[in-house]
Amino acid sequence: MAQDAATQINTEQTVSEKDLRYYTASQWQLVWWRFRRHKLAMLGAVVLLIMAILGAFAHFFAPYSVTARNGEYIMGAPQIPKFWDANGVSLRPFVHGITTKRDPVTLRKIATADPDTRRYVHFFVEGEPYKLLGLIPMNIHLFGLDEGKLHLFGTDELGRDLFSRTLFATATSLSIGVLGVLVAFVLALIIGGVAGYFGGPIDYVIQRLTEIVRVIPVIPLYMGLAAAFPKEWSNIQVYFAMTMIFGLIGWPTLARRTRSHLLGQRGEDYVLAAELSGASASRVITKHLLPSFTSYIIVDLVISFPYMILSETALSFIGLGLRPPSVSWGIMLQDAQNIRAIEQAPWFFIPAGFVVLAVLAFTILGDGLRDAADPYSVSSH
Amino acid sequence: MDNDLLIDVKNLRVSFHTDEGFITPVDGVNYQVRRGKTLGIVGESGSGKSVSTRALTKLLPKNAVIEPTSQILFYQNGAAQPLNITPLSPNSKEIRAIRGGQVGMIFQEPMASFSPVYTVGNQIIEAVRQHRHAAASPLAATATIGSQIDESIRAGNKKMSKLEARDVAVDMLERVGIGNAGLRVNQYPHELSGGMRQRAMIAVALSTHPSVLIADEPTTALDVTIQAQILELMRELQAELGMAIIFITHDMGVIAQIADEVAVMYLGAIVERGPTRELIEDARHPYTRGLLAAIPSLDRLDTRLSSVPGDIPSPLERPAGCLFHTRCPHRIDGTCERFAPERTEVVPNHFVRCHLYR
Amino acid sequence: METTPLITVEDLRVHFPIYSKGLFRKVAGHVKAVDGVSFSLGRGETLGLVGESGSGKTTIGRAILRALDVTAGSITFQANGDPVDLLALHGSNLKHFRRNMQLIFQDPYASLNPRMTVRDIIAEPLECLNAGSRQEIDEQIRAVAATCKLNVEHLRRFPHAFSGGQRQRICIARALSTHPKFLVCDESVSALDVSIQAEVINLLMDLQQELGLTYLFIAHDLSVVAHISTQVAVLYVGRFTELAPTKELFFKPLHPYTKALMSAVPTIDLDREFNPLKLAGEIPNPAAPPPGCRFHTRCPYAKQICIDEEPEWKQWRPHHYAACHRVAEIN
Repeated sequence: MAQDAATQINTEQTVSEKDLRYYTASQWQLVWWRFRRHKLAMLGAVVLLIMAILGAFAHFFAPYSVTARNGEYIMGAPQIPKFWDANGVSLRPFVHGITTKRDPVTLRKIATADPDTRRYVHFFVEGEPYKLLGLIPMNIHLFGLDEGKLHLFGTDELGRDLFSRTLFATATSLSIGVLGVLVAFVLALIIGGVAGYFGGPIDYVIQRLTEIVRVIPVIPLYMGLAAAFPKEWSNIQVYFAMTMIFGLIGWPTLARRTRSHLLGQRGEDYVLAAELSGASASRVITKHLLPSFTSYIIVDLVISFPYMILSETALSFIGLGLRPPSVSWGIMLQDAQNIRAIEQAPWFFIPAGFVVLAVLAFTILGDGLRDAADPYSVSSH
Repeated sequence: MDNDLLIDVKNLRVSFHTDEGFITPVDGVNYQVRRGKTLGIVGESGSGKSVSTRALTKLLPKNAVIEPTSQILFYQNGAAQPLNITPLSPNSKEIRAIRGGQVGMIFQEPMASFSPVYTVGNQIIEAVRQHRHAAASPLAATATIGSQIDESIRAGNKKMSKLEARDVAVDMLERVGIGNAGLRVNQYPHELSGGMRQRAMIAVALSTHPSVLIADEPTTALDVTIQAQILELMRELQAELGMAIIFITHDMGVIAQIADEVAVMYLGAIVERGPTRELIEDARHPYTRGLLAAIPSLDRLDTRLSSVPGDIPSPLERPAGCLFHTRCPHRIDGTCERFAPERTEVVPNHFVRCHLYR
Repeated sequence: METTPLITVEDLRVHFPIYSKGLFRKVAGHVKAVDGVSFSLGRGETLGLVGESGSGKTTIGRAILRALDVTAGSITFQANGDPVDLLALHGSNLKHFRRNMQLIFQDPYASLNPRMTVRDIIAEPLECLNAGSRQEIDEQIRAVAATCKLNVEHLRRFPHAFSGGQRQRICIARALSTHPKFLVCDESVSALDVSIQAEVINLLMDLQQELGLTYLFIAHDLSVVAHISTQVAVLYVGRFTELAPTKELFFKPLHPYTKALMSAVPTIDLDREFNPLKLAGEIPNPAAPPPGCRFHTRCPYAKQICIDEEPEWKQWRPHHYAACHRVAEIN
């Protein structure tokens, strides 16, 4: 009788739509719901998304190419589009025209804005032809001037548009980070997986190997390896060689994490339950073990991103990484490393802002993901 | 009249701000703690039994709020008025004197309350020296443990020397039945076995001569034979020191053996409170009755267990009206789900919150 | 109790090697978790296994399920008429034999993969055995879910939607999906609240009645064991000290250790005297068990013979076994 009452009450409980959605939510939905509450991490994700889009479609967003020079505006200050000036208001944003004079003493060109001429900003203008994502031939750029050139971040010593260059540099630096992390990840998964799954002496040997790699000081190693790049290598080759180096040096931390996740999950009751149900090793790995730590691995990946980006920036900055005419954040900062830049052209440091922003965004994103990665920690109590 | 009253908790209400919302794990709890007596608090998961006692020492998470209407009154000998600690900051001098001084605490997991990097002796010495003034309060005057030390405390105003405190530590370990205390005092917590650690934790808690000992599931992780030893030890020490004990557990059997008075908690409220024998033999509240009937007993081996139907509701969805109405076999439709029952004294000192007894 | 035994365990020994540190890890000793345990268990019976932590309860259960390596002994399973030597099974034979025996865990939170729906969890043993098409499997799942009082709607939910008691019912459903004959319940109700625990105990007992199941019921709570078991074995440092039908063991124990255990159970019956027998000392380390009777270090009746000789495992009354030199004198 008591039993009947029990079942009755159990079925009687009406389940609201919201509860049902929660009850039938998969791991990734739960992770997403938890992550969404983390406002700062969401902001980080949005910043990174914008950066990634800007980088991927740099050809479209950048008004000019990496090497395009504007001889009329060398080391020119950033131009900020306005809606009004002394001559009145305009609905279309504009900048003032540039007139160049040569300094009679130094013979250097001096560009000054002419407050009476207006150059209007137009959107979706035709410009230099390019291939979008390397595939679709186009010549439309997001914005440009009806006459002359617009330099939002100013220009460098050769009159190249810093805004355009920063966007292309973003693409290079982020993609090196992605590739480096991927190489590290594949190595980590294999090495950490073998160590964690087989255990015993294999684990012991791999652990010691990992430690050996970990104790090698990173910067001298980078320098040594980078210096060994043959001079005649193209920038593409150097680029891939660098991603390989970052991957080869970055794997030990990730491999350790993989191993400990694996060891931790192997001891869980539900894994034993599967084994006692007659599940094969491959079923245990694919259905239970891998899904149990993918979320943690993703967190680890996101957290190791900034190291990759900083490594690239550092290496290129000291002149051992990519070389001009390629652009990356490191190369752009290398251009900024002289007294003249600090004195006369502080806008050379705008790319540094991008580096800081990217690293910060990755860090807070990783933080938020780490909190959200285990959606079962709260509901289990 | 009530000279033995040590703590009087009135209308205690504790709320937590969490990501999921505002939850109230303790709502409207009243109880008194008397010298030399043991108050047993029994409840299942989510009943708020731990939170309600941690509030006494303000050892609550940062997101917890004790509602200002609550009163937690400490009666201290010599003081004309009881001290209401509700408005005091968790780090105030008064609370720190109470915590670990006037009120000792032991927990389920001794490893969690010992620091792994100090020897057991060091931790007792630390407690003793920290609460020297608390220990010298007139409350401890009845104590016999280490009474010569007490005198030295009262005699001078200097901090007790480490050597003296070490003597107290050895003495305490001996008192709680740890053999070879002179050696054990220099050992680290991980070097002791589970039962020994639990004893050592009791030694730490009692070393400052508390007038009240809060024991939060102190025997749950222990084997039955060790549990019996610890229960007996606590009873002996209580008889000797005259302290009050608040004993929290989910095990009715343990409660029956150790408590003088029992409070049964469900979803943050005390649904029934009364003298132990009275409450067990003449339980009034349907939940208490359900709990008692659900316990397998050696005397009823052949009868089917009766279970309390349904599940304990989540603290986020506390039922309206009577908290137990969702599972109650004697629910009065139209009343129980709408009105919270008032506390009724069915017989002297036996209180029930249930619409069946109005 | 005169049924043909379903399971016969003889002189079961499980020793775990202790390794020294370093690359060439040498075996430095053994933890004798289970050291010579014998019993037989008839169809439809429940053997309760009690003992303090570290006594080897869990190890016995896992050894029978072939979840860990057995050092010595034999386990015979009378599945369908013919006795099967469990320890001789390997590879796919073992995998297919697993349908006959299952484990119900202690922690209903850790034993369900939180990333799988209830349907997939219950289906796992069937899928591993390739027990038919998806439809056939679904039909079987619905049947077993109904047996465990889960409704169809629950099947598409994830474990986080359920409370402890409900989760334990899911565990039971998973264990029953292959229609096993033998279940090991390892502290299966210990983690549940009292009001929920009774429901799960009742469910287990009902299922035993309906399906003719045989249980090995491991628990530290003696009242629970007493309630569900037909016979109870007391384990101390890897060995049985006493084995008897439930009432006999609880009300007429022979071994001093059993007596101490029984007297230490706190009861809500206030008229019964609660006067625990005092045991000196601590449970010995199973890596270096004491010589002779393993209980002699704590036994109030220990004599020289208890240190010198191992006591014989002997039947003192019908179905009532105990290993103690001094049974005759102290009872």
